[in-house]
Formats: sequence, structure tokens, C-alpha cells
Amino acid sequence: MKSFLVVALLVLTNAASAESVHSVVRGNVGEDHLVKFHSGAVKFIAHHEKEKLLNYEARIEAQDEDKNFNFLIEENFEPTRVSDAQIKTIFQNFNPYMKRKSECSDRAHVWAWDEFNRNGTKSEKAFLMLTDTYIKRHRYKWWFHVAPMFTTTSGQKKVMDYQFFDRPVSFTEWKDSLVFSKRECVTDFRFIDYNAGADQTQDCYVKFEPMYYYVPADIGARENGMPRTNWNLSQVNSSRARAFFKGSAQ
Amino acid sequence: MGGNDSQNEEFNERAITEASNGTYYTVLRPVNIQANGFIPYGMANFSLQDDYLQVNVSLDDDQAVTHRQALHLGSRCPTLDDDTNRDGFVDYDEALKVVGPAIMPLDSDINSQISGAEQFPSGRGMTYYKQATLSKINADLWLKDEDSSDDVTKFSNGKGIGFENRVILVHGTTHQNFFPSSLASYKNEAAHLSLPIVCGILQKIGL
Repeated sequence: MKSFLVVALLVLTNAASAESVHSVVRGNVGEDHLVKFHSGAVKFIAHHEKEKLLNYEARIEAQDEDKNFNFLIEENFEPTRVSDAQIKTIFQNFNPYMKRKSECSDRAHVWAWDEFNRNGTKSEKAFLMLTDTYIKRHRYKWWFHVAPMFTTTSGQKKVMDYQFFDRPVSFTEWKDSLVFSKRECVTDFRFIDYNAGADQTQDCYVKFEPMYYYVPADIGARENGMPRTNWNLSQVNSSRARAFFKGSAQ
Repeated sequence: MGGNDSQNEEFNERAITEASNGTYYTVLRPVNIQANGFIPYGMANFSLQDDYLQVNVSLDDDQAVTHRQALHLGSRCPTLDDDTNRDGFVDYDEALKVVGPAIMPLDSDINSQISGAEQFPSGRGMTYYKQATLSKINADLWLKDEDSSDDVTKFSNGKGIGFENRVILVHGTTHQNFFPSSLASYKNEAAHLSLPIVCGILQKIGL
């Protein structure tokens, strides 16, 4: 008898479908180019691979997943405050059965939704965005990373990045683990400006958003007058299908 | 009792709960997270049905290297607090002080500690799958320890292997210029190949 996990592991879970491209950063003379995907992944293209570069530039598409979504107006988002004991329980209840090469945005979205659906807990998302200089310096494989963030009764913020940490951690511990330089991140910025090139003397940018925000492009949409004020269950279900084994805990 | 007594002083087989039917699972989380820009992660799954054991380990790390890996006697994963020489990394020796000796090297033959020795999986996005029988594993575990220097231990006759709360530790990444010369390694292996990269603690799950 095989458990569903064994069967699932024997199946190639990462289909070779084309990932959608968020942006392309052309390198200077002799430098690699960067392709940034909506998933957060980064691909380095050698400076001489012009055809490959043009192909990726042609795939850049505007994010239109929510263009027909009817947003409710929720002017102020206040995260639920939970006790330290509850914080531990919330973390322990996160679905651990992640698929190979699952994306952080999908995992974070499902974890946040599952806790909201279970207990009505409103959480936030911590979005960490890296600069091109940082990505190139460390051959970093992502341009952004996101994880759910919960607030304790004492007002502390706890990031719950179940894939990389075995416990809830402070934002600083989370950020310092992922930003090897441990430099502070820029917090007062518009995503539109980060997306346009950012201050390349910095290593990282960070935003804290309501739990409904899925990828950094949602932040840009808010800045353009389209905030996310509710769950898109279709998006949650798609995230679950991509990131977690079917039938695993919810 | 097999193995080096002083090595096993903190890690005692008496603490082990012998394996029973079911599935044991762990997420494998990064150790030495700053070792390269692709932060590694994975999972390990042990499924036991009567005498039949299946072991699966998968790792996403983007590093085309061989990955030494084992089930260890200890029950805690190393953290940067275990970096006793403060060189910024938890190296092989520092990690072994935390996770204890291996009780099952996850190599090409898990029925025997010595058979298949040093034949570990390799590559980017490693997938490892082996089958074995519990009776063979335990019979091998009760043999006399012929090599006390290999960081692999034996049990007293009668105590069977256990998986609950036991550590899975995986090693190996590509060399980086910023790795300090102080990194310890397994025997004469290159330090970057001995560097622990992911760790998890098996728990029995209700599936």
C-alpha cells in the first residue's frame, strides 16, 4: 500500500509550462540580463543570448487576473491580534505537504486563507523585494519572497515562513536570513518605482500588506487605485492546486 | 554496544521509539541559508508497512553536487547558535555534535550501513527513492561496529531502529569563494560537499 505522498512524489509535479514574465532587466555591456517571473523566480540570461532575451521580453504581459473582480471597499485593514500560544498553534496548523518547486506566493496565500477560513484570523503578508544589484551579487534565484505575517496581542509581528523556518520568527530575523548583508530594507517607496529600477545602492525593499495581496504586482495595482479588499477564492484554489498535494491538510 | 561510546554519550539509542507501521514525514529546511543564492529546501518521507520500508527524499537546491545524507540518532537540527568557532557557518563537525551519529546513511543501499556506502544521490533538484526491509536494517544495526571513525553507529542487540523525532541531515553545495578555510569536513572530503544544507525532524503523520 502506498500513501498518497509516495505516489505524489513519484509523479513529476513541475510541469514544463511557460512561466509568466514580470519584467526583464537588461544588463550593462558584458553583464547578464535578469528575467523576473511573476512567481518571484529569477533567471540569468548570458549577455550574448540576444534571441533568448527578446523571447522573454515578448512574453511580458500585464497582470490581468483580477481585471473583472469586483472589489469591496474596506478602507482600513486591521490584523487580528493573537496570543503567543495561538501563534504557535497557527504555525503548527500550516499545511506542510508542499509540492516540489512550489512558489512562495502560492504557499503564503493558502496558509493565510486556511487560517482565516478556520478561525477568522486576519493576517498580513510580508513582501521582501531584492534589488538587481543584490540579485546579481549573490546569483539570487528570486526577486521577491513573501510569507504570512501575524500580529500578537502585544503588537509584535511574527513572520510564518513554514518552508524555511521551523517556528514563527520576527521580521528582522526573517529578513536577515534572506538578505545576506543584513542591511535594512527600504520601506517608504512605491512599488511602481521599485519596478522601474529602484535604488540600486540598496539591497532590499519591503512592504507589509493585508492577507489578500498575492504578488507584488497587487501592490502596484493598489497604487493605481485598485486595492485588494477581499479574497479571490478562485486564486486561492489555484494556489492550493499548484503548491500543495491534493487531499493534504487544510 | 557498537559505535564510539564517547560519541554516543549524549545520543542514546534508549531514547528511540522503535519504528511502527505508518508514515513519517518532515519538511527539510535550510541550514547555512546564506551558502548560496538558491535557498535549498526539500522533504523526507519514510513509509513503513510491516517489514517493508520506503524512503523518499527530495531536494530543490540548484546545485549540481553529490548530497551526503543520513538519518541521525539526534533529535535537533543545527542552527547558527551551534557555530562554535563563529566563522558564520555550521560545518560538518559542528553539525554532528548536534545531530549525533548516523544510524541510516541514505545511500544506494539502506538495508546495510556499509553496503552502498558513500554512494549518495547528486544533482540539482535531487530525488531519492529506496526500499528496504526492516528486519534486514535491524539485523545490520545489531552487528559489531567495524569502523568507529565513520560517524555511523550501531545499536545494542534487540533495540530496533526508530524514525520518530530523528533528524534527517543533507549536505553538499557548490564551492563559494567566501567560504572560510575553517570549515571542517568529513574525512578528506571538500568542505563545501560536507557543508550541511537542509535538515528536518521526522514526525509520524496521520495519513
